[in-house]
Amino acid sequence: MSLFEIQNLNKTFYGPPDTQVLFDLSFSIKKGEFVSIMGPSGSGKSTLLHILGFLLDPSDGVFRFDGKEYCEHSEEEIAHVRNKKMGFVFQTFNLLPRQTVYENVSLPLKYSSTPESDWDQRIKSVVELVGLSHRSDFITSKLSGGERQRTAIARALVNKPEVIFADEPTGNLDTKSGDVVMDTLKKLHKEMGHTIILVTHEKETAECAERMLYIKDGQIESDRKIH
Amino acid sequence: MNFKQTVLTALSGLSTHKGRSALTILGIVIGVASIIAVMSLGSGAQQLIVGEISQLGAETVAVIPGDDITDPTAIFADLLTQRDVDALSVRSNVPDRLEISPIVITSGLVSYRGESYRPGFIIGADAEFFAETFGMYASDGASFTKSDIQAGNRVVMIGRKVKNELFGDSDAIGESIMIRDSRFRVVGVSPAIGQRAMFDIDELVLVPYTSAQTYLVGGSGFHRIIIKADSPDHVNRMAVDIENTLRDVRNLRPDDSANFSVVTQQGLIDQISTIVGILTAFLVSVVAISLVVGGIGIMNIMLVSVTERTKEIGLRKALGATRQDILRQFLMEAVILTVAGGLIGIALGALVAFGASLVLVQVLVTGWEYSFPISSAVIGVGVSATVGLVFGIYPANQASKKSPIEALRYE
Repeated sequence: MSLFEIQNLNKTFYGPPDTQVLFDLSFSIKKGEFVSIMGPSGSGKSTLLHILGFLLDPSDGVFRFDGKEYCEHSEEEIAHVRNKKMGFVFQTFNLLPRQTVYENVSLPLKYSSTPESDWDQRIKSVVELVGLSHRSDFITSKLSGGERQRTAIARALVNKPEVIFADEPTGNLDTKSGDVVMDTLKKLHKEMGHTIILVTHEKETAECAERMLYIKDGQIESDRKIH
Repeated sequence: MNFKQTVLTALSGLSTHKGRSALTILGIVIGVASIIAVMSLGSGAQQLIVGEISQLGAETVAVIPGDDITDPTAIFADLLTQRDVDALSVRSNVPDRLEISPIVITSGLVSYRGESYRPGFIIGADAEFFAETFGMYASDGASFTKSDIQAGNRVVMIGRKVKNELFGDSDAIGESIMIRDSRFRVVGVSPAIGQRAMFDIDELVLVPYTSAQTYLVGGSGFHRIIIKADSPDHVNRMAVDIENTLRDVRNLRPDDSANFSVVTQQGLIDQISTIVGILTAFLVSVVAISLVVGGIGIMNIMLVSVTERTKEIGLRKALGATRQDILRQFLMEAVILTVAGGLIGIALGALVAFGASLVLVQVLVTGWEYSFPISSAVIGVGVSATVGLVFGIYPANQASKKSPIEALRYE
């Protein structure tokens, strides 16, 4: 069953001037898939990821997540989906810099209905999963780029989401740290069965996925299996 | 997000900018402190005045010229007359009357061999009645007598401070002093008594009311007639009798308004409490303007904070925060700031009022007591929380309306 179903989707940023960035996109993503969305800068790949991640409204077309049309979600439900079913990893990490790894990872739990008694165990297990147990009480501004991104991955995982969105997750990292982050994402897909949608402009990074959507000028140029 | 997490998140948000938070609440601290200080001093003043009046005794009733004791023009009203006193002295007119004494009140310089002094008041009264009612008795010499009153003798009893100012350590009894332009012989000096029922006894000069009329005021009017009932339980009944008697004497028709006032102690306490209450409320409302200014300061800083924390807001929304969550978080920050400011303001205001009451006791009024009305603390916290809610809602609403992705892209 498809987790995401997209048919004839368009996105226009209304100006002036109005700017259409996505044109008539149609594709679907199954549960458990690892898909990379690749394309040059300005191609609309991040915009597509934001629409898939319920962070941005599509202008028209069909967009279903888990069988339910996006427009049928209330504002509360959209927030709930982002909180419970999706995890986000951004290029710029987007951590609260004066808070610890532990506090940053706990953030999504505060907006969920998970009982507070379960928080500690959940946080510790995801921090351990990304290999940051020894840094748990560190202020995130004191961490290296790779450690910050792994903190962001732990935060994305803490609510046990169905899908993880990674927007240029290695864009701000050196090669070695980037490899660690990509290994973590691959592990989450292979061993834990998470659906992962990765946006990147780097071919090598995109090829870590099992399927690649190539976007250029807001249109899908190719949609192919890699592995 | 539940209430506890909202509070913790708000506290965490504020603690990252401790210096700014402290400066933000300064306006609220000053505003609330001012309100508390004014209310506390107002309450102290009220207690002092009520205490002073209460010293007269619950059975005392005063007749005053004019129909409104709070009306400043009442001093121009026709004075009370000997006819009034005579009518009220008739037992059948006022059966509950125990004693009656007219009083003349004036002021002016007293002097003795080149030494001049301006006492608090120069009172013309019956010395015996005055001793019973206000506690002014002679420790040196003796009070003047009823025969002095009948004869209109120029005799005087003086308070301890007046004696010290004019005579120093010398004996005053038998000496003559000038009151305005008339010579009076000192027959008695009271000991140091201090404040009693609105008069500083040590600063009084007491002469027979007949002498005061003849030599000091001119004319035959009285400024007060004080009447004591035989029992505090009969005061209200006696007040009605007094009113009816005086209306008869003055030929007032039933629909004519009275040109005199009959004031019981409770009535006086109620009226003065009302006046002090209105004055305090007026001062509090003036001071409250500073709270509005403080509130605008909070709104301003919160708006800056919202702009500064745009990325954080976007992140929280991306991680599942609803509009309500963001609204509540920023509103909670504003309320915590103002309530903290309010609590500090209450402590500061209480401290200022306490310091002021110490100064008042030492310098001005001996009977002043420090008072901290609990209602002022409740009002302080309530008002500051309301200021937080009112002035926090706009910035909080601005924060909650931010689109997550636009906020995340904000640099």
